[in-house]
Amino acid sequence: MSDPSAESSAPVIQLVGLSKTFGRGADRVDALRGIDLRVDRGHVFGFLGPNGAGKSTTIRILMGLLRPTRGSVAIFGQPSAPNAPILSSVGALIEGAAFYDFLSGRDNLRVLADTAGRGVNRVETLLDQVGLTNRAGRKVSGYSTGMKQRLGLAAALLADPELVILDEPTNGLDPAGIQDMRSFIRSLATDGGKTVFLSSHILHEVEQICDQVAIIHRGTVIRQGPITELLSQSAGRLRVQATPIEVAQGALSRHWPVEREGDWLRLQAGAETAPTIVRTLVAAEVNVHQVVQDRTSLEDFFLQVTHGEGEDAPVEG
Amino acid sequence: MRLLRAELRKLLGNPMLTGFTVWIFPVGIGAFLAIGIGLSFVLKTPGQAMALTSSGAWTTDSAGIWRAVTAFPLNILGSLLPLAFMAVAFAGEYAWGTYRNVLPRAHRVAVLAAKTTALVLVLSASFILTSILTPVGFSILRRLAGLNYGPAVTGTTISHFAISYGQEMLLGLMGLLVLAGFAALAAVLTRSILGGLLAGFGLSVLEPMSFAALVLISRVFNWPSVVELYRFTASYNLDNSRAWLLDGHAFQSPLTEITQPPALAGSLMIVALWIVVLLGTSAWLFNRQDIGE
Repeated sequence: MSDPSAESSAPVIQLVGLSKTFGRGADRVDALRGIDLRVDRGHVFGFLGPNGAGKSTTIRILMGLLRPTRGSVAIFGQPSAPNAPILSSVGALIEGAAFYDFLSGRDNLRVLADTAGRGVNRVETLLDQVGLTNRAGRKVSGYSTGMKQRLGLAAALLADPELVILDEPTNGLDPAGIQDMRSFIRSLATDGGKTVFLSSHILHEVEQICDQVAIIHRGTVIRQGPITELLSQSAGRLRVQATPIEVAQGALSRHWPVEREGDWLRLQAGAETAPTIVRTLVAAEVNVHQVVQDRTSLEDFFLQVTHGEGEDAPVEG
Repeated sequence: MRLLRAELRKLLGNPMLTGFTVWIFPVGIGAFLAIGIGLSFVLKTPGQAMALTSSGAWTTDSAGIWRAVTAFPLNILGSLLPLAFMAVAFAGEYAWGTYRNVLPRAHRVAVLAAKTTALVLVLSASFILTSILTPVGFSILRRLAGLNYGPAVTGTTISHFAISYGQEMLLGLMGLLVLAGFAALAAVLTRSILGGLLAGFGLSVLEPMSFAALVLISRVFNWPSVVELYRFTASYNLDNSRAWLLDGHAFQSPLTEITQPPALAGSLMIVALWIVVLLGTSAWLFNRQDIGE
């Protein structure tokens, strides 16, 4: 059995030049085009991208379900491929939970525990953790989508893994369930010391619970790093409220690019230019009400770097 | 062992599947005999007619279920339900999307091996149960119909029966493993339950029926020796092995072109080769396969 702790200095996940092509000739689809990615220990890492960007393909390669066309995958410094022993140390919920409908929730977990060659002693604890103890004896065919997602999370945690990979974990959950799931995921890292690799197309969700993020678009990772750092790179805009707004716009547009948004003017200028802006407006006999730094949301940032393209735009959740 | 337990839990936890394809054998024969026994108390003729479906010997009746999956032409029909059971078990994981939970947790070849073992174990349990119910039921039915049911239970009879039943069971298990090979290959190639069922049925029927194609080719191209290729089929060699084991001579095939039937060891090796090639090919393909579902 592989011991992830023995490779404590290695990144938890490292992808180098990862490519995956499906089909041939006219049917050829380049799902991944040379992805480089590094996830370090103890983070909740958001893997963000529109539907069809390559998130699930990446996760399937990570979990040994797909073979990459080119490139390498390492988990805890050990090469990962189909049948790699290190995979048994990783917990994953991939593209919605799939279970044996004819078995109960409890039996599904027992089957997976036995499949992994582990004891079934954690089954009851995990059922309790995800709030399914009372319904664990019922057949999964009678479960709601949310219950299946929770059972999927329990399945991912069966091996008490150091790395948990979650693909769209809040799909199908009601608002209260979403909040519970987000808190639970965050606690995996903060209380459990686990590394969480979270794939999502819900920008708000990623912004709320992740500290690092990679954005994948059309099979390529286009940005990667701590969320605060990425958002600060794009912060370079000020918003100004002044009257009369037409005069203010005329005065400012001689020096900076200006866009009008209702009662506000939006300038492409850094925070350090705020005093100059105020002086310019006062000189033009304009009343200045507010000058504020425009905080870039992850959604704004995403749209900037992807130019708003995507087969299915990500959503604010 | 834990992987095998997981596979057994999946199979036994699916009563709809096992009910219609596995437990139907003991339940079916039990129901048939119960009806026969019940009728015997009311109407003599139908009860007698049902009693006559027995071979008259409990030693033969008991092993009948194993022969149903190995002896040509009975095996064409007899193997359909076991094959359906196996096809759903192998292909269901693709259709249900559950391989994405299973395969990161265990080696693919080990999963295939555990599944095959579990399938054969469950079917064997059903066949053994059927083997017990059949002679018990027929002994009552025939007694009510005033017919003999032998042979007498003596130490010698039991020891002979144990040997012949063991031999039938060995051939039956080999037949089930050949079926498992067809089902696994069909599932890996089609990745769907319906595809697995159709391809599995196709393969399992084509194999024993290949003599028809060979005879046709021999007639059309005036090439009699081509029929001898039938000597290499699993069906022929299961029949040939049974003839050697139970009758002490080679199988008397209706195909007169087969003049040199293999010896017992040769036939058993050919069947074993079929099992290894079918399951080995399935494992090789499965191991290289992208699981996208």
